[in-house]
Amino acid sequence: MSRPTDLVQGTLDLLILRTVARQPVHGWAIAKDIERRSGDVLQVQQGSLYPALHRLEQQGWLEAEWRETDSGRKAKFYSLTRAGRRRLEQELSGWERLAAAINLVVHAS
Amino acid sequence: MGASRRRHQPRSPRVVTRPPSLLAWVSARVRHVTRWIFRRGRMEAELAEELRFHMDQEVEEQLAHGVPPQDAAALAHRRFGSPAQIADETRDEWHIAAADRLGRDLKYGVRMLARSPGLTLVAIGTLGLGIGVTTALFGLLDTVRFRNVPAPHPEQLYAVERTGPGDNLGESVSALLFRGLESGPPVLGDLAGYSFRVDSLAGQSDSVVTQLTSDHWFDVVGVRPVGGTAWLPANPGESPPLAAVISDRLWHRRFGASTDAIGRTLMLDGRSLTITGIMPPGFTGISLEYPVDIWVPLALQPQFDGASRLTDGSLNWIRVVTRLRATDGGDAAEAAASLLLARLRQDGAVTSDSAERMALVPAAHPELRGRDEVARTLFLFTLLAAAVLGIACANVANLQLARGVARRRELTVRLSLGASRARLVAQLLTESILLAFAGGAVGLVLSGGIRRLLLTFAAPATSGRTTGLAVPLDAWLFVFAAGLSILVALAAGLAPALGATRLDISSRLRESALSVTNRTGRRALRGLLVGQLAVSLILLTAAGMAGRALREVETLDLGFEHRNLVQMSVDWRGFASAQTRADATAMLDRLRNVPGVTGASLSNPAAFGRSTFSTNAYHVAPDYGSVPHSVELASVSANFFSTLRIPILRGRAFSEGDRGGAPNVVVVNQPAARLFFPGEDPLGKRFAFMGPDRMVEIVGIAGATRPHSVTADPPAIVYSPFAQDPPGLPLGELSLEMRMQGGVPSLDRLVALQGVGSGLVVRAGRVDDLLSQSLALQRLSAVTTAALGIAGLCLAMIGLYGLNAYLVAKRTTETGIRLALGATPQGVRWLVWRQSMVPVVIGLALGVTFSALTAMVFRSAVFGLSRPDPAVVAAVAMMMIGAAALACYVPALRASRLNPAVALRAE
Repeated sequence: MSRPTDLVQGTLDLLILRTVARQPVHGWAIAKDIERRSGDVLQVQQGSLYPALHRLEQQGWLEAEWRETDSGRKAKFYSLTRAGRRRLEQELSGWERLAAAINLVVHAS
Repeated sequence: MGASRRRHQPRSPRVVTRPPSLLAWVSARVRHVTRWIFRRGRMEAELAEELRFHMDQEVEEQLAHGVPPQDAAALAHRRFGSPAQIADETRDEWHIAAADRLGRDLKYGVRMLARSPGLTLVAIGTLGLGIGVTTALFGLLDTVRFRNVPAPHPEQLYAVERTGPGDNLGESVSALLFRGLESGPPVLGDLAGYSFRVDSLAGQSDSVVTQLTSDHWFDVVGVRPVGGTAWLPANPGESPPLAAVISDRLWHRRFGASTDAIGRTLMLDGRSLTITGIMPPGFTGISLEYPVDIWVPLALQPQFDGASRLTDGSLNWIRVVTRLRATDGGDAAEAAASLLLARLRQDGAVTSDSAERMALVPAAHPELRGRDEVARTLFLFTLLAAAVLGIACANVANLQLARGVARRRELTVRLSLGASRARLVAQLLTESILLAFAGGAVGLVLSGGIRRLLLTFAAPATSGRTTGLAVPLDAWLFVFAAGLSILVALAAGLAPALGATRLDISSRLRESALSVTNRTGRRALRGLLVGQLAVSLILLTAAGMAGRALREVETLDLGFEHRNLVQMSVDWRGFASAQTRADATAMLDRLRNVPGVTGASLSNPAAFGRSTFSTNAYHVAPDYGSVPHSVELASVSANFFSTLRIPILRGRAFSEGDRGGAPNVVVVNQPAARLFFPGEDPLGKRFAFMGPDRMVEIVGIAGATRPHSVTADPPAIVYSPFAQDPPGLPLGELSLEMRMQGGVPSLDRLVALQGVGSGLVVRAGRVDDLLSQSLALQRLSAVTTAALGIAGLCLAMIGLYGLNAYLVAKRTTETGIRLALGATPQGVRWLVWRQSMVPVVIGLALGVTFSALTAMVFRSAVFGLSRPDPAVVAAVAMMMIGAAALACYVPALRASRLNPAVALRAE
C-alpha cells in the first residue's frame, strides 16, 4: 500500500457525504468504502472519522439510526438529510473549483 | 481531558462555501444540547457501542485475511487508535464541554463547601443579611417613592403649584391660570385639572368625595374606566354633560356590582347625574388623602357651588397635574409656567396673590417638597446600603481567603501537575457564586420581613395607607437580588481565588502546618477587617445622627400645644346662610359640654392639615399701598388661642365682645406682622380687609405656628373673629378643635355627637397624626439608617469573630508549644486578645476620622440636624469597642483552654 496522505478536514466531509449519499451506511463501512474506491490511496484515520461523523450529524447534514446489520449486530447507520444533500452539492462544486484552480497554477508554463 | 484535537486536523481554509445558516446552526445546537441534557448517558453508551462495533469489524477483517486471533486484536487496536481518545475528540464535537465543566465545577464546589459547614453557614448568613437589607431598602424606596400613586409611570406625574417668597406654596390655581397652562407651551406636558368636594349622595349615610375633573384627566393620569367610558367632552358652547364615573367600591356598595349600573342615575347633592363608567378596582384617585368615589366634569362646578368660578382669576381652587415624559423637562416646564403666570398677572387676568412663580412637585410625594431633597436622600440611602453590602462582601472575602489558604497545598499540587490557572480560578469562583446565590435566596426571603418591619416604624400614622405600601415580592426584586448576588460573588471571590492560585510553587510545597499564613495573606485579612470596622462605625454614627434629627424634629416647638388635640373638620362649602353659621356655633357649644373635652374652638378654614378645598391664600394689602402679600386667613372663635395655647405676644386675643356690630378687629401672627410692617409696631394699625371699605384694626400679635407641616416655615396668618365675618360670606371647610383630657375618645362617638344633618363630617383625627405625616422623610431616614447601622455592626462583629476563630485554629500548634513551654493560660489569652484588638482599634480610629465627613454629608441631606455631635460618635465608638472586645475574647478563651499535648499533635 502506498503511503496514506493526510486528509484535510474539509475534504473528509466531502468524502463522507458522498459515500453516505449512495446509501445509508455505518462508520466502518464508510471508511472501507473510501479506502476501496480510492484504490487504497485514501486511508481514513479512525480518529478523524468519528469526530467528523458526529460533527456532521450535529450540524444537521447527517441523521443516524440504529439498525441491524446483515450479520445481526446493531450498528449506527448514517443517512443524508435534505440539507445534507444541498451541502454535498456545495462541497462538490467547491472542490471542483479548487482542483481546477490548482491545476491551472501547476500546469501553467 | 480536552487534549487538543487540533493536532490531528488543521482546519482547512475554505475556498468559497456558504456557511451554514445561523438559524440551522442554532437549532442544531439547541437540539443537541437538549439531547445531551436529557439523554447524556444514552449518547455516551451509543458512542461506546459505535466504536466497539468498528473495532470488532476491524478484527473480523484481520481474521478474514488470515491473521492469527491473538494478533488480530492487537493489530486492530493499533490501526484503530485509542478508543478513549477518539471518544474524547468526538465528545469535543458535541461542543458541550463548557456546560459539562460547569456541572462538574458546581458539584465539586458543593462538596468543598460542605466540608466546612460552619464557615459556609456563616458566609451564607452574612450574605443573606447584607443582600436582604439592601433588597428591602430597594423595595421600600421603590414603594415609598412611587407606589402610593396608583398610576402607570408615576414618576412622570407632577403637581403644578404656585410658589412665592418664603416658599409659600399654593397647591391650587385659578381657572384662568389653568386655561392658560392648558393651552400653553408643550414643554408643560399633558395637563389636567381637578378639585375635590365632599357631597352627600342620596341613599348613603356618609358623604362621598367627589372630584371635579377636566376632560383629559383620565388620559393624563393613565387610569381609565374599565366598565363603560369617561364622558365625552362637550363641544364649545354646549353645556357640559351631566355625567359621572364611579369607583369600583361605590359600584359594589351602591349597585351591588350589577351589570346595568351604567346608564343609571345618581342623585348627587340634589343633582341628577348619569353614570357612564366604572373605574378599576382599588383606584380611588391619585391623592391618598382624599379617596374619590365619583368623578364629574370640571365644567359642572357652577352647578355645585351656585356661583361659577370658571372664568375667575382670583380664586384658586383647581389642582393641576401634568405628565412629563422627559426626565429633565422639569426645569424647563417650571420656567415656562412661571413665564405664563407673570404674563397673566401683568395682563391683570390673574390677581390672586404674590405668587411669583410655578413649581413642579412630584405627585407621588407631595409632602417631600423639593425634588433635590428626595434625590439626595435616596442617594444617601443607596450609599449606606452599599456600605452594608460591602461589609458583608468583605466578610465573605475573608472567609474565602482563609479557605484558600487552607487548601493551598492542594491547589499548588494541581497547578504543578499542569492544571491551568484559569480553570482553577473558575472553580474557586464557582464556590463563591454558590455561596452568593444561596445568600441571595436567604436575603430575598429576609427582605420581605425586613421591609415590613421598616414600614411599621416609618409610617405608623398612615391609617389605611399601609395596605398600599406593603407590596409583595415582585419580579424586579428578584432580578435585583440576583444581580446583587452575582456582583457579590465576583467581588468576594475573585481576589482570594487569584491569590490562592498564585504560582509560588516551590515555597508553598515546602510549607508545613507549622508556618502560619504568609505575610500578605494575613495583611489582606486584617486590612479587610479594618475597613469593615471603619465602615461599620460610620454607619452607626449616621444612624445615631438620624435618630437625633428625628428626635429634634419631633420635639420642635410648633407654636401651639399639639398633644391631646383633636380636630374635626366639617365641610360646609356652598352653604352661605346665616342658619348654617348658627348651626356651626351650636355645634361648638355642644362639643364643649362633651365629657373629656376641656376646651373647644372653631376655625374657618380648618386649622390643621393643609386643606385646599377652599382658598386659604388671600392677598392682603395693608393700606400702605405696597405689594399684596400672600397670607393665610383664619376666621376663628373667641377662645381659639387659649384652646390651642397659642401665645399672644402683644395686645390681646379675641373676646366675646368682638362680634357683629362691634369694631372690626384682627389678630396677626408674628410672620404676618413682619411681612406687613417690618420694623414697626403693628398694634393699632388699620387696613382694608375682606372688602375695600371694610377697615380692621390690629389688636394683638400672636406667636408663629406650624400648623400644616413640621418642616415648613411658619406661615403668615391673619386671624379674624368668626362672629365678625361679613354676612353672606360662604363657609368652607370648618374645623372644630377640641382639647381632650385623658386620651382621645373613639372618633365614632365624636362623629355621632355632632348632631347636625348627616353626611357632613369629612375627617376627624388627632392633630398629632396629621402632623406626623409631614415627618415621613425624617422618620424614614432614622429608621433606615438605624437598620443599616445595626446590620453593619452585626456583620462586622461576625466577621471579627470568625476571622479570629480561624486564626486561632491555625495557630493551634504554636499555641500548644507556648503552653508546653510554660506560658500560663491567662498569658495566652491576653496575648491572643491583644493581637486581635489591634485591627479593631485601627479600624475605629479610621472610622472616627471619617465620621466628620459623614456628618457633613448627612446634614445637607436631612432636615433637623444642627451640627455634628461628638457625643454620638463617642457613644458609638464605645459601643463598638465593647462589642469587639467580646467578639475577640471568645477565641482567645478557646486558645487558652487548649491542651498542649493535643495541640502539638494537631496538623
